Amino acid sequence: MDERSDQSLTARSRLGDKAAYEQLVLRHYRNLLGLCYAMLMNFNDAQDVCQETFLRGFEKLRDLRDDSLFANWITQIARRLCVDILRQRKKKQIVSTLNEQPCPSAGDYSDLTTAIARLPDDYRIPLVMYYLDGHDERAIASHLGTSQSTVCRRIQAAKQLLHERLSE
Amino acid sequence: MNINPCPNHKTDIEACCCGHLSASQTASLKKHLSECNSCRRYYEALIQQDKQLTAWADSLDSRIQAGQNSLLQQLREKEVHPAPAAQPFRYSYFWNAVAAGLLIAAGFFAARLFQPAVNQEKLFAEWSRAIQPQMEQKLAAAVAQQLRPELVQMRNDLADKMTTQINDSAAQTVALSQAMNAKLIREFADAIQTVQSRDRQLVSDAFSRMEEKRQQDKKQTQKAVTSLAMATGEEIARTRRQLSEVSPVLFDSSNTNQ
Repeated sequence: MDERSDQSLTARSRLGDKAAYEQLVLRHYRNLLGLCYAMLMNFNDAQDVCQETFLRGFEKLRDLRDDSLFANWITQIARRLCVDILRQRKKKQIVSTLNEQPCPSAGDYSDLTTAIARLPDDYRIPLVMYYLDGHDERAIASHLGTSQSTVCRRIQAAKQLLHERLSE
Repeated sequence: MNINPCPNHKTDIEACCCGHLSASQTASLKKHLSECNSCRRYYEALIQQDKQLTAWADSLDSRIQAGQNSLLQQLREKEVHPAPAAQPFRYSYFWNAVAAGLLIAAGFFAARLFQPAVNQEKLFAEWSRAIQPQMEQKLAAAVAQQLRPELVQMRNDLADKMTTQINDSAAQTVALSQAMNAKLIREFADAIQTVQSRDRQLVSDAFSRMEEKRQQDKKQTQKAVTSLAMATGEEIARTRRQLSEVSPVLFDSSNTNQ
């Protein structure tokens, strides 16, 4: 991912250039969806939150001080929205986390999804982002505001834990 | 079923599955995998899991694409409200503060500029003539009436305070001196005890040496007595032999009589 390009696209988007913002969406959508999915463990909710995040981001671009930090900034918006949804779930006591119906055409990955859902947050989020965004560890690090080596280490640990749980 | 790979290769296997090993490290690991059954099984299990996760992610791909397209459509339909390039009122508090400061400064300088002229010398002369003597008299009277008793009271208070402080410091000095004396006495007593114990030790050592010497003397005496006895026995035997040579008959008869 080219940070300078992110910067220029953000600057153009702030001036109302939709095409530039679409480029940003295409670049960050999968990573953000991975984050939302990992936090909510419900694909439909994750899609809704992701879309809401990008729409809000477009409206609030003027609040972004440093254009090169777009990825981190948009991730924070998504995180806040996910936390809101999790809070609402807690209030309504809806346990939808593990009850998601698998996509009819996607095959049955319920065991895998359940095992992923039971991973700790620190492991689950980079793992899901890694597989949904084509193994781009640098982009994940940029979104999560951490180093690439930390992301690699957490993904490896997540895989190991997943292996242990699936082979029990 | 859990697989237990070699502990020193486990991390390498996991890194290899993520593509984080160099070519030489990968070749080395592959060599080990061809020899070690448990490591190979662990590697294959991780690869299998990776494929499963990739397939899971691929199964969501169409839905992701649909969601992305939907978002792009919503964005295209959205009204554009471009943000202003410059934000003049963003720091309005700052500019308000600056304006207030400027107004205050302007008011101050204006007041200085337009203040009425005062003849200070004339004013001082009038004050000296009319008001100063009266004020001095009143001030002196007030000092005499009010301040004097207060000063006396203050002096007494100060004297009391000083006396108290001197007494306190004297008491502290005495206490310190007593403590110091007690400490010195303790040290002196300790020194005496040390010397006494050392003397006792010396006397005890001297007695031990004397006892040792006495034992040695006793042994030597016993030895001398033994050797003397032996020498005496030998001498008697020799004398007896000489006597038997000189007068065998006598000796024999005496032996027979005996």
